[in-house]
Amino acid sequence: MSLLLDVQDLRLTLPSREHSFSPVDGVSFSLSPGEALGLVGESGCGKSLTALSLLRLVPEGSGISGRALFEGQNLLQLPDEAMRQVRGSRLAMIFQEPMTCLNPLLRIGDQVSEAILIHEKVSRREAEERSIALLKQVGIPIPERRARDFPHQLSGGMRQRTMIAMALVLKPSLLIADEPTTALDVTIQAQILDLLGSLQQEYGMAVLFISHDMGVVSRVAGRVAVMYAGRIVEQGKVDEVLRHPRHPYTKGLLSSRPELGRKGLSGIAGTVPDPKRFPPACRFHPRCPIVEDVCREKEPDLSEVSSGHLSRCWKAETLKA
Amino acid sequence: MSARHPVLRNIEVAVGGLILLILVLVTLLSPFITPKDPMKAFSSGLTDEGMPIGPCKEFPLGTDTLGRDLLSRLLAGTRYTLLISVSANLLALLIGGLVGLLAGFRKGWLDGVLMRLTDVMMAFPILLLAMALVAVLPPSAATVIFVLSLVMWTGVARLVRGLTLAESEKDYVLAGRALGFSDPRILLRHILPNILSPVVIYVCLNVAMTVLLEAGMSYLGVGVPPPAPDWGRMIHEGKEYFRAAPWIVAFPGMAIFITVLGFNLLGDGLRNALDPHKRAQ
Amino acid sequence: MIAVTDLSKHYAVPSRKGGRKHLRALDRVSFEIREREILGIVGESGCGKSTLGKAMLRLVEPTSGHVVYQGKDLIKLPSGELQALRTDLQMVFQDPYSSLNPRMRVGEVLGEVLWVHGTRGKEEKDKRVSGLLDMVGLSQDHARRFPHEFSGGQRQRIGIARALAVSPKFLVLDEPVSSLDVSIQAQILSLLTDLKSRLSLTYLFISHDLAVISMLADRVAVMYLGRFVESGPVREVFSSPLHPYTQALISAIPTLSDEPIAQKAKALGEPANPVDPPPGCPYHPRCPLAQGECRIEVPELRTHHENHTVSCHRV
Repeated sequence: MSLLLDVQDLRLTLPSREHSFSPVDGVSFSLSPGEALGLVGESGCGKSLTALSLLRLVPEGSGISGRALFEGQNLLQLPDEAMRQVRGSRLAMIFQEPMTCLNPLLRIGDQVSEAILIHEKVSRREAEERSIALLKQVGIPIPERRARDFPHQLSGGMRQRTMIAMALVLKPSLLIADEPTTALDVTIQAQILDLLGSLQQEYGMAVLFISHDMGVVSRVAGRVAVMYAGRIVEQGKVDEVLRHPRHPYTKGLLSSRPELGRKGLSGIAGTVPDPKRFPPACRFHPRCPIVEDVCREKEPDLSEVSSGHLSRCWKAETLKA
Repeated sequence: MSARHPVLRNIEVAVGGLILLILVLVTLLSPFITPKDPMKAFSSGLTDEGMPIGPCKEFPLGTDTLGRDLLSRLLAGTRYTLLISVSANLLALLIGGLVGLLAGFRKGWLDGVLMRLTDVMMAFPILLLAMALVAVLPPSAATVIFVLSLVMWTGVARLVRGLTLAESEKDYVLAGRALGFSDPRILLRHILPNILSPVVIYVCLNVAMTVLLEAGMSYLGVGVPPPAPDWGRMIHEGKEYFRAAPWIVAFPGMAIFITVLGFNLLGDGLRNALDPHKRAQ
Repeated sequence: MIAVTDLSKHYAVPSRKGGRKHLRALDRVSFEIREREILGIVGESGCGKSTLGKAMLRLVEPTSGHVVYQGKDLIKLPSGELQALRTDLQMVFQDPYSSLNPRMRVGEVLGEVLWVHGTRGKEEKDKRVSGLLDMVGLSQDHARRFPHEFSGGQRQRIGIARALAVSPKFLVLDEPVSSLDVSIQAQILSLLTDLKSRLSLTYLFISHDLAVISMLADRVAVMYLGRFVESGPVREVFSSPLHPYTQALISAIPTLSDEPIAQKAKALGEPANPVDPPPGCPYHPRCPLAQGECRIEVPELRTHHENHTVSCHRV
């Protein structure tokens, strides 16, 4: 089966007063059609910028290099007009804060219909009907009435659902979700995650799910990639990575996470590095509990430690639990 | 985020600042640099028919209706304009700032009362109020300062109140209260320093408006009394002769224009420099 | 140590149709905290937990109720006496970015607190400031820096140091780690546990994160729309949750294991608007077990067994 998305060595370089820096520094991963991949990392690791780079929604003056093959086309090389066609129709994105893509002055039903009308030649009536059907599909109760509401009249969860509806208008083959539930209450988060799961099944859509929360990702994705300091440091099937992490950062993240019924929390010493000043050699070495000389001298490559499971660590072998 | 922006900001602040620097210097040095006595009426300053003389070697900017040297009066007038406008605004800042801080921090009924008072003051038409007050009080520079500050303080109060309200909701203020800090301490040591920049910018721009107001008042005859070389007054005195001796009106007018421009540029420049860039850090 | 009785906070909200409505941020909340215990308050946004913390310390004036500490009711105390007790009861805030004065250096922040509370003399002050910084895991030269030079986690440490500067006995921790990355959360939580045992502190720990509460607190109270719906020892409440809302919260937690802990009760729909609480049990519109009386009568808080109280008709 051919890959839906194949990202090779993606690098985003931003200019700055002293010298340019790369908050996304050589990221590679792939997605098969209908598959869900989680991208996990803390703030400053570059996960959101990775997604924005794929959609080419980066600030003026930044440089993107590498390849991102999506349905046969290299997204990074597409001319602007072609990219605009792809965005929203084949490739959609939803964000943490729904108000970033909802116009506060338009009723939500109209916003969804607009999205349909922009990309397809259908009558206004048909667009409205489809919009109501979509709102229903994303779980908004009494959609005929709700469609006439303005965004500020909706709760956070409802706005998020509206944003999902707008993203799905043209049945994209890939949905990128950047921390869509982080700002929501736990009970609503559970509802949205269930919704995403069922929509994914129904549309056969692939999902790139970005989050800082391992638990959330494990509920949505089959495979996961852990990012740190602009690079992927571990990648593999969710169950495996969770049960047998092979990178000290992943291990640290998992054991920092409070869990019901678990005793004892251990953090990771130090702080996340500034993207303008990544540490040399292995970027995690200043915080690593099992650091050795080689870690300070040479940066490890992402290598396979078991079938389908990759780790960027000199001591990945020793972490075999 | 291009390199152009810092230069733009610099130009505004630089030019505005330069103009003001010159004005301040003139103010300070005016007794020494006026070529002639600004109050003295020269017989050589009028033609045989008693008309003012235009710009010439003896009087570089001409003379006014009484034969006084316009250049000297212009330079001496800087004092009045600057001192009056700046003092009025400082007084307004004091009054308005106090009112705004109290209203914004204490909220409740005090806020209500103070804001109603502010609304009432703001409703008075400025010039009418000024004229009424000047009729009652002895005419002098001090009166003008007082009257102007009465007009200006309401704007300051509104601004300070809004900023104080926003700032007092922040957690560090709450922490101060939890730690037993007295209200004056919180207001002066915590809230005030954090609301200073927008207030400074506002006052700077306000001074520009005050200059115009003061000139207007003098023009209408309710400002600084003669024989003071106040620019507005000079325009008032020269307006009948506008056809015959336009320089009497033109030069003070230009002086006012440059002063207002200077303050506006400085204020705008400061606003650009202080606010959005800080956020972009 | 502290007994809270019938604490309420109502806000008058102008309604669109004219007249007034009441937002019951807190609705007759009662509980006790014992010395050296950690009481966790858990709930989603809008449930009133933050208001509870602030109302207890009178940073927000309660509409009614009593908070009794050392035999005195804080709510009724005149401000002079209240100020004297303030040093015993302190608060750590959620947002590391607005909880510090951006124009003061860290050393000045701590120094000011000490000065206001009687420490004079530069040497003494400097010594105590160093001591405080050390206690929270920061170094001496951090005193010279401004808040914006620090990361979120470090700022929280400074906030904690500031609260500790007056040697309090009781701390209200209002979501102290919610804005931090997971790895930093763990650091701060272990700092807090450490400080508690070293300084014999009592905590009211407010959070929306059940997992954090389960690891830290001795007892927990679950809040919904301004009321306690369930409370009891942590282990007990989390292993046998009685109230449908608690059950929904627990089953909603994204866990790392394959099966969720409890698939039973799910919360339906959206949280109700606190301005217009429905009659009867506040949770009934979302409750899968709701029945007749739930819509009419507010359930009382009843003790199930062993200090485990619940407010639900269906238990």
